[in-house]
Amino acid sequence: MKEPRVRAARSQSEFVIVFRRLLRHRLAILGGAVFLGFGLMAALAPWIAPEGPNDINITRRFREPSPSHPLGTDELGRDVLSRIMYGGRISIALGLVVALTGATVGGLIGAMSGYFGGVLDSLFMRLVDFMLAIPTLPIMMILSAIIGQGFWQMVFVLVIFGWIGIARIVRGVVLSLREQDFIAAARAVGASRSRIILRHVLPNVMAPIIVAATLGVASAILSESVLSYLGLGIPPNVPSWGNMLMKARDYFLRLPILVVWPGLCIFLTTLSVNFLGDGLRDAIDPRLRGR
Amino acid sequence: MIGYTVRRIGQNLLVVLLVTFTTFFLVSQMPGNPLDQLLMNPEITPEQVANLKRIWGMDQNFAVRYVGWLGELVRGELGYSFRFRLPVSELLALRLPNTLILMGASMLLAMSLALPIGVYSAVRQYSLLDYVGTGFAFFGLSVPNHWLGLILIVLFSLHWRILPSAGFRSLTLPPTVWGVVLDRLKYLILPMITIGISSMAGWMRYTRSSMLEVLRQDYTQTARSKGLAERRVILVHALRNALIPVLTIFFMAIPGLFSGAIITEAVFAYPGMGRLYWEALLSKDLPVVSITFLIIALLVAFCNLAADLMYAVVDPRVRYE
Repeated sequence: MKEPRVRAARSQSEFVIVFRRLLRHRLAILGGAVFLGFGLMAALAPWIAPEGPNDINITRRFREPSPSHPLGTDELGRDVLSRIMYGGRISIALGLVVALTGATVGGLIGAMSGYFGGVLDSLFMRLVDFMLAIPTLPIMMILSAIIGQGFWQMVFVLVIFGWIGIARIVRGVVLSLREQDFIAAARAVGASRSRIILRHVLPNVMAPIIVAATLGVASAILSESVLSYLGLGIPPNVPSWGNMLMKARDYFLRLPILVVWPGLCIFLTTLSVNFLGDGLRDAIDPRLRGR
Repeated sequence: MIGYTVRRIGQNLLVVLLVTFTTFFLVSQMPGNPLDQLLMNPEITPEQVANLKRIWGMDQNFAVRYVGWLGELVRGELGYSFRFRLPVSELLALRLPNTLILMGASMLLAMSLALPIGVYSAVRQYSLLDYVGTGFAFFGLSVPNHWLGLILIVLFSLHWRILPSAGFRSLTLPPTVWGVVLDRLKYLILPMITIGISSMAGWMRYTRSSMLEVLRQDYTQTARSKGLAERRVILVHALRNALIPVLTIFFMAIPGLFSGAIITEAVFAYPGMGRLYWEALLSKDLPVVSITFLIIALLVAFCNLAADLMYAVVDPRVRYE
């Protein structure tokens, strides 16, 4: 640690080390593969889906799964497989956008809070305390009712509550980093404040941000499905896994299997993202393994 | 400890005041005005509507209305539901107990399964039950509540026809007290599992890791080397210490249960407060929205306070932050 050469070598291979550890984590790799599969299915929906998401044909309502409609047809005779594929576009895109925005906002606020401290820090932390004190789902429901339904409205509502966890984590890491010798050393050799933040602080907080953002994807997908299920999320004419589930509930006396598919997709994506996130956390910090 | 308690309660009161303001502000931002629908009625003139507005103080500015509303709350006047034409307090008296019963039952179920399985899988780490428990925990933490509820309905109510899919009791009440309790229980089973599964999974994992930590400590070894029976070492020396963090987690899980209650009551058409809140929001029954939201927020604040105080009792270092 005393020779700068050694540190440089270690920090270069850090990413490789983490990636190797991740590859050894079988569940995480499986989770990553499943999530990738769902992502590809959603991204390629316009090319691989057998039909459009809104191809209505009331002569073939409530068909059981069959070779021509592998997942059956719904109350308007639409092909459920196609709708699942298109629905994945909304649900997964929403999850990714919310997690990314939440991580950016949370990372910035947490880093500023931890690095500058003082009034700014206590202001942000009081805000965090307050937001943690209000029940999340009820207030998300009111917000949705106020600003209306739609993709970007959903992103807004979910990001309002999506940055808090990450901000707290990043603040904690930055606070402890600030006191460490290598930051003091950087300051002593005259590094500018922005260089310290970008070169010395940021790489060290990236790991927890990546883990939290990964887990954030799962919770955003879950929240979308809950809000849409309650009629306060994505508008009903756009297929998303959440509002497909809501519609399926209305008709589950006619065709119960319709309830299974959208929920199964939500379950499998969130499960796979959680496995991936857990694997990442273990790979980045092996001390946490098994907790 | 007294100083810490007073400080925490003070902070909580501040949060509560902020919560009332947030509630009132958000509800006042809801689109649509409850009086608008009166204008559709040809018998009612715009002047009469304006008159109503004046009588109900809806023409006042925001600050005046907020203070007035707060004053009414303090006097215990919770307002009237537009939709049910009943005082909100009466609605609450009907609905709140149902939600508390549901939450209490599911917590009881979750605790009584999570603790023994958590302890067992720590003591016999890497045993078959440990793996089953781990798998179950991942399932419980990832499965969407509303979907699980729907699947349970499809299986138990539609397919096997052994449990009811909706409601909270039979239309005709059984004659004996036990009959009534059993009848309620029959309607509770599926919703209770639906709400409780994620906390069960969480507590199980937490008990396991906390127990693993304690079993590694020197005092556990000491207890063993004194020649105590293994059973006594685990149940008395280890478990009592392992339970400390689990108890605080227990309180911290309660706020999440309210979210679970909203979803579950929606799925099972269970007449509790979560469902009341949801329906009021969809039908723009604003007095009900604000009061139910406020009550949920107050209960959450109370649970957070309880968790904080609990933590301070258990870990004295917290008191001197």
